[in-house]
Amino acid sequence: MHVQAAITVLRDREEVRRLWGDRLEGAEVTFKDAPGDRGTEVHVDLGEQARGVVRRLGRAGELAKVKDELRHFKQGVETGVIAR
Amino acid sequence: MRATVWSGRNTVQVENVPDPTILDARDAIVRITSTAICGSDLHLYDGYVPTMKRGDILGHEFMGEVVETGRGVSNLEVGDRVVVPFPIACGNCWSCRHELYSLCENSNPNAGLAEKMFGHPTAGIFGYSHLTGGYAGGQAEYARVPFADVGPFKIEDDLADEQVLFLSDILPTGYMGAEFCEIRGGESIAVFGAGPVGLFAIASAAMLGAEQIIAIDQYDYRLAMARNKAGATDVIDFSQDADIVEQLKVLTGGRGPDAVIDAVGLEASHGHGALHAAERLKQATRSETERGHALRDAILACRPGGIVSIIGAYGGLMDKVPIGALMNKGLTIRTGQCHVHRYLRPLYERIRNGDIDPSFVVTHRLGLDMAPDAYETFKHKQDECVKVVLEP
Repeated sequence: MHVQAAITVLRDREEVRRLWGDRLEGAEVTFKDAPGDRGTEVHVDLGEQARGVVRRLGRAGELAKVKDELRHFKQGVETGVIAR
Repeated sequence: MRATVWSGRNTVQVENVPDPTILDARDAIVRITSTAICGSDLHLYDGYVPTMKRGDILGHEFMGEVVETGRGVSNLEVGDRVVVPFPIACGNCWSCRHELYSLCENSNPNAGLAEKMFGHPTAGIFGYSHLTGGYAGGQAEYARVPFADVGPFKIEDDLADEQVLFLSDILPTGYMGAEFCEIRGGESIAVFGAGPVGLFAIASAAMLGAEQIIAIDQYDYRLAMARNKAGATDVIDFSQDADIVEQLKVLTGGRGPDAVIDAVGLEASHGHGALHAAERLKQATRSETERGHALRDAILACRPGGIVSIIGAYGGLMDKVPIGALMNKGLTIRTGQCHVHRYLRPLYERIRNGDIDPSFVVTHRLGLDMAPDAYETFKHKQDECVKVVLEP
């Protein structure tokens, strides 16, 4: 099982891909059109789930950081600011 | 500045805290002229909402005067008089573009925390725990308003603060609860809870054309206000008779109300002492976060095929939801934190037209420094308290 995260950004695919740049280097990042004119889905694949509790916890922390990165990207693109 | 801060369970204090500043281009700073204590603030006060921290500034119902704007705010000017909606909404995301403002996808800085609790994050809210962003609230002299180009609503005539302040939350919340009921004229609507939100749900149901509106509460002064000011046609005092479901059936000729509004939320009381004590115990031991009497009775009382409208605030998990009744009676549940921005203009027009004067709920007017006493008075329903307005 892979550790994955995704978010939908209300912009077209080309714009999202361009604005994404080289974020999350090392992860596999793909972009696809969301259904119903809802923008672009950004999918991040962090690879295979780790074995063992300690490694899984580490992976969970990594996933949480990736989700934060995705949210901040969406906020920046859609609103121009990062909520704080 | 002076601000009302949460200091632990059952304790608030008015303290000197740093003035807010503009942090982002879309911010504004508002000098608060009137602010209110909401029934849902009592959930924070009573310690039932997780992620509160000592020193958090409370308050999500406020209005005032714009004193500073960020460079990205072109719709407001210094000196504008504004009401500020309690949900913080960016105006740009898919949810905001579909007028689902309390589900804004971009305004909650602690979205990860909310996602763990609810499966998805919800919008930021002023002064309502770190689950909803940890934003400083408006029971203070000043507040920072993020996304000020979207939220604050300008008041451009001489209506008093008390007539428009409740556009920030409780009037649109009550109205949305009534709107959920799909009132077309002639319906029987029951409203659990005759606090300020319940009173506005009753008044809204009347404005929308309901024929019979039944208010349910345990305090006679609130039921009197429901009947005499809000427009309830019938009342049920469950301190006198705890079997609300049977009373509702009798009042509706055995049918049950066409729709039932839960304007109570997670700290419901029940006329049957043993039941109430059992739920209090579970809540105190954190084996259940909500007391669900009102919602359970709403589901059981609602006529088959009817609507249960939930606008009372819930935050976590509830035991013994009568899912069998819900499913087999084919009920529709409609719920949500209010999408306040959607209702600002139409309800403002109703106030201006004289369809409703929301100031009828105000029973207590106090200075900000009296906030600790006001919380106690409101919590314990002393002095026939219905709604407290604080003036910083």
